Amino acid sequence: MRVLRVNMIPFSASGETYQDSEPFLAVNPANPDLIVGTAFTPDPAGGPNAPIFVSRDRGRTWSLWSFIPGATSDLPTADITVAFDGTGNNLYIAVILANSVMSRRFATTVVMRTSDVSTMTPPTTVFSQPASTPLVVDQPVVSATTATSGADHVYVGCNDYNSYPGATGKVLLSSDAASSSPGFNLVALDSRPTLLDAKVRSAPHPDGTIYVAFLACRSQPMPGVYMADVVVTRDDNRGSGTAATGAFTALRDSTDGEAGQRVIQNVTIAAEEMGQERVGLALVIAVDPRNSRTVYLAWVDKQGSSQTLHLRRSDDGGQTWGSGDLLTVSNATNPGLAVNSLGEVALMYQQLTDVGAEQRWETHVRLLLGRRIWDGLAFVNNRDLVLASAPATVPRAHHLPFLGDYLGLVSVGRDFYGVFSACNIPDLVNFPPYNEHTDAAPGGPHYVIYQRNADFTRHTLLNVEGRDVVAPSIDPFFVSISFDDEFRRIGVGAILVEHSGCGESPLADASATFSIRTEVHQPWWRESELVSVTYNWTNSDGTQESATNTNSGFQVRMPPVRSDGTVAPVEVSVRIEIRVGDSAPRSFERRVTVRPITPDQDQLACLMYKVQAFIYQFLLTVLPPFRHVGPFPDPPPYLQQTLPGNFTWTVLRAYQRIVRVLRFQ
Amino acid sequence: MQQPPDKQHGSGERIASFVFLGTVLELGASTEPSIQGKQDTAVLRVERILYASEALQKFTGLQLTLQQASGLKQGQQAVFFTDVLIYGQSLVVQEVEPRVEAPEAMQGRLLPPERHLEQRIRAADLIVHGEVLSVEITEAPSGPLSEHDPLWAKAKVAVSRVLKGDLQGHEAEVFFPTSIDHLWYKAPKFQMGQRGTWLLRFAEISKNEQAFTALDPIDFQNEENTNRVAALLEM
Repeated sequence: MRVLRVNMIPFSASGETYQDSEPFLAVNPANPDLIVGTAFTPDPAGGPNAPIFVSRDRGRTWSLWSFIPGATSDLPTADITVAFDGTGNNLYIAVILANSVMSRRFATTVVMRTSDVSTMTPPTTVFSQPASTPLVVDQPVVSATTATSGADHVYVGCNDYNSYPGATGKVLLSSDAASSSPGFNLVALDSRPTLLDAKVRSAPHPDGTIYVAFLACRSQPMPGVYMADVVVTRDDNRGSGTAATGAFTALRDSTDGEAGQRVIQNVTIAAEEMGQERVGLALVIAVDPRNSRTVYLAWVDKQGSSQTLHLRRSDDGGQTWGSGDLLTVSNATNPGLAVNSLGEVALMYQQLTDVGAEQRWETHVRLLLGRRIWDGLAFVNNRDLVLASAPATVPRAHHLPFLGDYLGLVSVGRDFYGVFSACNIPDLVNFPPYNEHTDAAPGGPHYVIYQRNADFTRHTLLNVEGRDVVAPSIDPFFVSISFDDEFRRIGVGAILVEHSGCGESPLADASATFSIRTEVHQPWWRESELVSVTYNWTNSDGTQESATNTNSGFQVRMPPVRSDGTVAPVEVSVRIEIRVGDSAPRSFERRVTVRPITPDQDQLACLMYKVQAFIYQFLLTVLPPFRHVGPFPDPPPYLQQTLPGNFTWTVLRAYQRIVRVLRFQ
Repeated sequence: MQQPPDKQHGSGERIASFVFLGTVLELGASTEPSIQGKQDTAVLRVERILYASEALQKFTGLQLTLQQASGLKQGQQAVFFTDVLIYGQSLVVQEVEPRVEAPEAMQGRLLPPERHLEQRIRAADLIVHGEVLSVEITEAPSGPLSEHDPLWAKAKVAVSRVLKGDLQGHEAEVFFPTSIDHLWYKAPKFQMGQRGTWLLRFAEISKNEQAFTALDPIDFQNEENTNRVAALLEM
């Protein structure tokens, strides 16, 4: 497992100090190198378009493209969410345009589409309402899939204030969103009497199933407090429903028979401030890509004095959810939820810790894995990664939301990709190592990477010219949690080969021994587990021996000279077994035959090196990448002209040198 | 949320957000990998900034890329009126107004802040100078709870001078949002005793209710800028 954290603000925007909260993310499923992010980030120059973040190297570097039209100085754009379709051909963008005072309060949503974000092709508006009858919604969160027919199905979960009081939870959906003039329908979800609905979130599955969950606020006993049901609806026909029953009625409540299963009823939803943030309304849903009947749901309600996050799972299409939580987290908000291609779950959230001036916003990812991964000490199934832990009192919030009303988390293949907002003070304390073996170098591959100018020694942000200090602010941070897909890329991190036994005297009339020790270091960031290394070799007298262990070596007795003056060949084979997580061990075996021409000292040394080279080559072939962690053994004096210097090279270089020597010989 | 200056409101004119004196270093080149290989680019060095937002104040001496560069020669200097297209390792900008050869050749051409103010003045329904007599929180609207609720307040302004429009009587009621939601927090908030000039628009603030508002940060100008507003009104 590898974790990458990147501050998404580009270097050329180093002078910006905006509160870049409420981030979102889309990863191209056909090309995960292309990732698009959004946040409440204005154009740092004050230009007319709303920018989006674009990465073309899987999140390692980001640029900010002024891309989305529609803002003015007193009437800005607001929430922007993004989603790629199932093929990665189209990016869909749901935007709140506050193009009148009224619509700023009851935000107007438009849906845009672009087929080539990488070339800054301006997006085309595929849905908008006339100003006289605007679709006035909040938090339009878009998702998309592509049917086998090639049609793009787009879903925008939203709160339709036109329906207040009543069932405001709706889905704006299109079954031909990629066409030149797609049609969109607004579908109501809540079948029961209600005051309003909130946090409408969708989770489409490629097989045509789509879940939509929301908080149904049934009553308001006091300002800012609602008594609510957590409701999950389902449609098995891409949101089209059936002629008899209509859309999103496939899942009927097990108690009252109405459309929409109530996962839990009459919970308290309290809109309040916590750590400079407004909290209280939070919900997210995700479906298992392997099985559309397995679905996960996370929401926040008020339990005592705590905003409490709950995670639950249903294995029967949302009908039953169990009586208890898979996870419960106190003082938490902003859940993000994703299920990867192995059915493994990632839950990201932000949690307020400590009290008073010591309060910190911690951003966590909880991994519920179906396999074991190495955490540096042991193999575990579940991990709690703290991605950021930053002061909750810095900077002083100049508007709400402080971190955002939501964040983004998706999966593509086995990997998870997320985005969250946090205080950007460049202090490694704020970005804890997710493992005690983490490389602590600032900006290193296993720490947080800042693109904007930052001094981690002085904990200050700098402007582009490298002198002026820039005030701390809130920035979006990208995170990826990746698991190598190819077994060949998983494995041993380092080996050390040693030898001895090369005598000084001529060996023509005697056998000799030498040993090779292959020391395998289990790297903490790999998920493989070395089971065994087995050596088999043939001694000079023809006897065969073997040794099985991981970190000790073996000794080969050199062959004596035969009666005809030749030397018997030596055969050595190495067999390595490696297990990945809970999988069955896999083994790899290689065999080498070395045949000295004459049994003198030089030939023995060459033989020795040839066996070493063979082992290196084997490991390079089977288990790259790895690196040499110890000093390379000193070569015999006679070889020093060919192999000069101290042997602290990488294994690959050493191996290349060895091969060169052997060829030279 | 985005908070750019009003580039197109009212008149539809584009106003550049980044104005600088630059030297053409290389044609057909780029400082930004994402647009490398294009022929219509030029690498410029920023010699002097004539107008930039706070975030871009430190680009003097740095290089950037001009996209759709035409009619330029290597070594040429000019004042470029641009918007930024891409923020990466460096900037990629695009001209949105005609360039001029040198700052001295601008001949009274207004820089973006003045042009922005000019646009707001032109679009205002009423411009008054006066003093806030009182501030009153209005009743919360009867609609659903929304984090985007403006939480309107009403400032009663004693008007000493009407610079534009018609006003019945000597008082104007100005509605302003007290919300610090990201959609509203930049709108001016008023206090009793505050003196200055208001650039007001008559807008629908809730269903079936219209009122004067001043929502852009520059819709309120303090006392010393009153003459500036008056001068722009006469242009």
